[in-house]
Amino acid sequence: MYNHLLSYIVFVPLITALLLLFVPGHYQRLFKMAAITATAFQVLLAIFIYQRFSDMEEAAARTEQADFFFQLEEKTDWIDLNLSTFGHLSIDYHVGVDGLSITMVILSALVLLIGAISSWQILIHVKGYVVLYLLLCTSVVGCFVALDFFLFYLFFEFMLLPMYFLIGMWGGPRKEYAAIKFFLYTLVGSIFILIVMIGLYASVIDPVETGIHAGIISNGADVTVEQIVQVQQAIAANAIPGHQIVRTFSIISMLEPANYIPDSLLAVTSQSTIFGYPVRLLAFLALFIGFAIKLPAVPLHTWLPDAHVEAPTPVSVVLAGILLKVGGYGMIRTAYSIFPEGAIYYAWWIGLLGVIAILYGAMNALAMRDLKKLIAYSSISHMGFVLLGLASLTSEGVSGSLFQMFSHGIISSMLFLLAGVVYDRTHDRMIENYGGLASKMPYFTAMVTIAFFASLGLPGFSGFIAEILVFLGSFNSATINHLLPRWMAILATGGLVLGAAYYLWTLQRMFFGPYYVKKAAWNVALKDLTFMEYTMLVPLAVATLAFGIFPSLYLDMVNTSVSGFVHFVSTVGEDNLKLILTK
Amino acid sequence: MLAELPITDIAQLLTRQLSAIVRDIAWVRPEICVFAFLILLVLADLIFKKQRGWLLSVLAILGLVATLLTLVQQWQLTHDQPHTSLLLNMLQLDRLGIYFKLLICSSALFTVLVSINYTTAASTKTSTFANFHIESLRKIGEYYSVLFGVVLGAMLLTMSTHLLMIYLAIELISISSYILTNFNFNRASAEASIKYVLFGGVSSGIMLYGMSLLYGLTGSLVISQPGFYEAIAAAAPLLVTIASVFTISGFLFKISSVPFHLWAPDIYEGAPTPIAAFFSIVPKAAAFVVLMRFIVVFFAETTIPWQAILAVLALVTIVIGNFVALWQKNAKRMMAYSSIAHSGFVLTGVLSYNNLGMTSVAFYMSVYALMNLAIFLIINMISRKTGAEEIGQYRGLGLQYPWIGILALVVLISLTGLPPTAGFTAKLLVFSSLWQAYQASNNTMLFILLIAGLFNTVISLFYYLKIPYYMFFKKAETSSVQSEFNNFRERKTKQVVYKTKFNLFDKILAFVLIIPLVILFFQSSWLIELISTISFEF
Repeated sequence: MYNHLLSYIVFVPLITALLLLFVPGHYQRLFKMAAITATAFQVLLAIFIYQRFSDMEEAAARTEQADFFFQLEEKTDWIDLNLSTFGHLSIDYHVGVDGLSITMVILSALVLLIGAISSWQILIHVKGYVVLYLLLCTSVVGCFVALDFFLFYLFFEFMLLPMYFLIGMWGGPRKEYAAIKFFLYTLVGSIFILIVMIGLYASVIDPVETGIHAGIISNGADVTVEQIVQVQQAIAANAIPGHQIVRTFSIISMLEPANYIPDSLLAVTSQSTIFGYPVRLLAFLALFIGFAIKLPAVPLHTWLPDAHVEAPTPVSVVLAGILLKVGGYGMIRTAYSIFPEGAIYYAWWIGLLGVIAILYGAMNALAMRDLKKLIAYSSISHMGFVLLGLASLTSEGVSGSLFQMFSHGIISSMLFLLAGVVYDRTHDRMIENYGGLASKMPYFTAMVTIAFFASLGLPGFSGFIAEILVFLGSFNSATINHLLPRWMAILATGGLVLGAAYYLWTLQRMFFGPYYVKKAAWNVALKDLTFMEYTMLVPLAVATLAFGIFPSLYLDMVNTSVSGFVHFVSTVGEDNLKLILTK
Repeated sequence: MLAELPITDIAQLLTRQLSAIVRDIAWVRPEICVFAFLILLVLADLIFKKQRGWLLSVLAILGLVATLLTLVQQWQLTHDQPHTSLLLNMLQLDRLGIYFKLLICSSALFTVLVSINYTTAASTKTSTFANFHIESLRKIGEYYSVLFGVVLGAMLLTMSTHLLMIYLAIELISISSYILTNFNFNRASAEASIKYVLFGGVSSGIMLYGMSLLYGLTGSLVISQPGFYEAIAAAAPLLVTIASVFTISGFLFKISSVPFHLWAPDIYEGAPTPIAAFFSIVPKAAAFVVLMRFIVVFFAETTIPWQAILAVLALVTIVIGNFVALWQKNAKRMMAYSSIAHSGFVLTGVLSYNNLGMTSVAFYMSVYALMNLAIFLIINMISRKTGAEEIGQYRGLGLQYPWIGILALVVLISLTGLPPTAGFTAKLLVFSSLWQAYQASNNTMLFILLIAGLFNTVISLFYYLKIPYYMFFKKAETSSVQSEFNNFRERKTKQVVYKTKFNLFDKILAFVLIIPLVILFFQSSWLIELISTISFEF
């Protein structure tokens, strides 16, 4: 049971979707129930995974010395291409979790369930909707657990198609425009990633498989560390003939500089350049841009407000709650881990992008008249904290940016659900068309207040802890590793002030003061929260409070992995950077 | 040469050569099979004047199946011999040729299967275009025999290593194609046919001129012999350039690469839809094989940066194909430009000039054949049902017939080159070989091609998505509250709701073509395993 937990959590929605294809389309309730059941099952599995993970994390923390270690790993050969003189190309089905990904898996399971419940309001083409939504569930969770670049890319790309149709068919008035814009932007990003992926697998070997083909390791026997070192030395000495080399997409192999074929472009030792720039730094940049579009970082963010405004509520929830995190997670898992020298070399610029996103997003939010657009821009501002924390490359900063992704996942889901509440009742989201809703919808107003305060970083809510950690990290960076200047952290606090401004102002305009709505018909339509809306909102509100008051709940999960990650990036990155820049 | 020899020696030489030819005949069994069925088709057409539609179709299918069987047999027999020269160096038998011949014959088989419906369904007179469909039904015998002509030419071309043989094979393909283009028997079809003749005539003239120059430079017509490259390497670079460029223009015409691509859109639009699919695959596959064999000649001459020149050509082909496709409204015309862009991708694999590149070309062409047969089949199904070939007329079809919509979507995703379809694997292999080539040569042009080629995926997505966009996002009925002008415009593209169902046979064919596209992503090793047994040393 425990051996295949991760496969279950990835493929349960896919299998449900395939079964649903054969059910006639008019059983609408059955489809919605199936979606809720499948995602609820994912939550259950996520709880199992969490339990299993924390047990093993304690054991592992005592024994393991490596910077990265993964749990609940599953690895099977998937594709093995024999390309004669080019050697073999191996693609594995390899999944596993560490502290960096487990929190994302838990978050996705939770948000996807909420999204499935919120999908109850979908009325047209229910069959197509549910099938696409379940496909999305599979690809999102798959993305967070994949440890093979090919597998990761497959899931990453496969998110696009369901999202395109979910926005384009069930969205608002300008849905086609928003859908195609989302698709094109993200595809541009994934092409950047694809280029690096091609380069990586052309350069990286699988030491174990290569050893087996070259006769250094006997098939089936236990592999010792000495044997792997022997293979790596043979590769470094060009002693293994081309047709015996096994190239791989394994992210774990890519982490180790010794696994690179010495004359390949992406090897640290080859010191190759393109147009005068070191190839490895360019590769880092390409991956960074690819994921920055998804995050989104300013100035690559313009797809987000459109997609959010036009998407139906559940899709907005999933988009803000999880899909944006794929960008941040992808940076950590690939760009930062595989090319750590880029992380150090570009730290200042990444920090600057973070600060710009924080301030620019917040200022835009201040100017928005559409409630959903306001929340979309506040998302951009909050994702800026993720960049700033990552750029600092300190334990506090990285934990902070991971925590920010987690807490933003919870809070933004809540915010979009709340925006959906208004929109469902009146089909209008303009802030100026409402006033004094507190008297008419007191419980709704209470929820909005919780969500707004959580989002603006009030102490006691998870957003506060995350942002404090990011500030600490980026402020200390000047003394610990000299990567970020202090003024960045100081400027970023401006984001908090602006955040308070736009949220409080919105609260005042929409909810307090004299009661006013634009159309008389809305008086009847505007009712307080329904039972179903409570079932979605209350767990999220409890979660943001719980993680705000007991942040160790979260930090215990990530601590070991974060310190390993920071240690790896700073030591290996320094070494690589020296080698690359000596040329 | 013969005149200097005594008569007895000539006699000996002749007997030797004759016995060699007789011995080699066994190795051209597939070609003989195609030829025999071509004759049979003509005879059957003459004898059974009346009720012969189904008989001729059965005969054509039988012929292609028989050829496929002989090819499979040849494939098994050649497992230990990399290549054999046949018929006095005219042809060369190797697994590369056999693989592509299998591809050609399977594509032809699918074309015939699609054509059966194309002709019989129209005879019910429901379609507004009924008159020329019936016309083509009456000429079904000619249709199949000319189709076999193209197949024969393409099969010979994949084996040719002799310049004369190359020329003859290309001409056989061309002349048969000119006739096939006209089988819609309407004005557009006739115009397309004439255009094809004019473009084709000029390009084969240029090619023949180039070949004669090559013969003058080397004194040999056999490109597979070492003496040929040595002579090329020794000759003056300028002359070699002129001769090679002229010769290659004939091949580029067949693969519809820029600047010889202008014929493709008109011909695809004018020709019967199954034939358009056939044109986009069979002559192209054969021409790529001959290009792979010929490119060795290029690389023998080292003073000219051939790789960079071909890279520019490939890049321009990809970019022009994709950008012009953006503006197309007719589905067949759009697919013509898309197939131009795909030629650029395959050309990328060829110019990488390494083993991985050749493997990727074989893989790409196989996947491409599946994709193009499938998408043209779907276009054909829709146009038979609704008479629509404009993309704007597809509105609402996906919601009305979800299966057709999903199938179309899978093919288009594959054409774009996104996972989880074989189109992605094909692009991955092509660009991996290019990366490898760049790593080996450090030629900046190759890197530019890598980046620009991959980013073209985004552009291609834009036009491929147009089809699902209209199928799923646009409603079939338009709302009544619209301005006069809009109503007028909508009326032209407005969709009628059709009661009849799609032909079951067509649906099965579509599934047969599209399921492999997904399977070959998850298990690409099955096909790669086959291709890796091909030796790419000619």
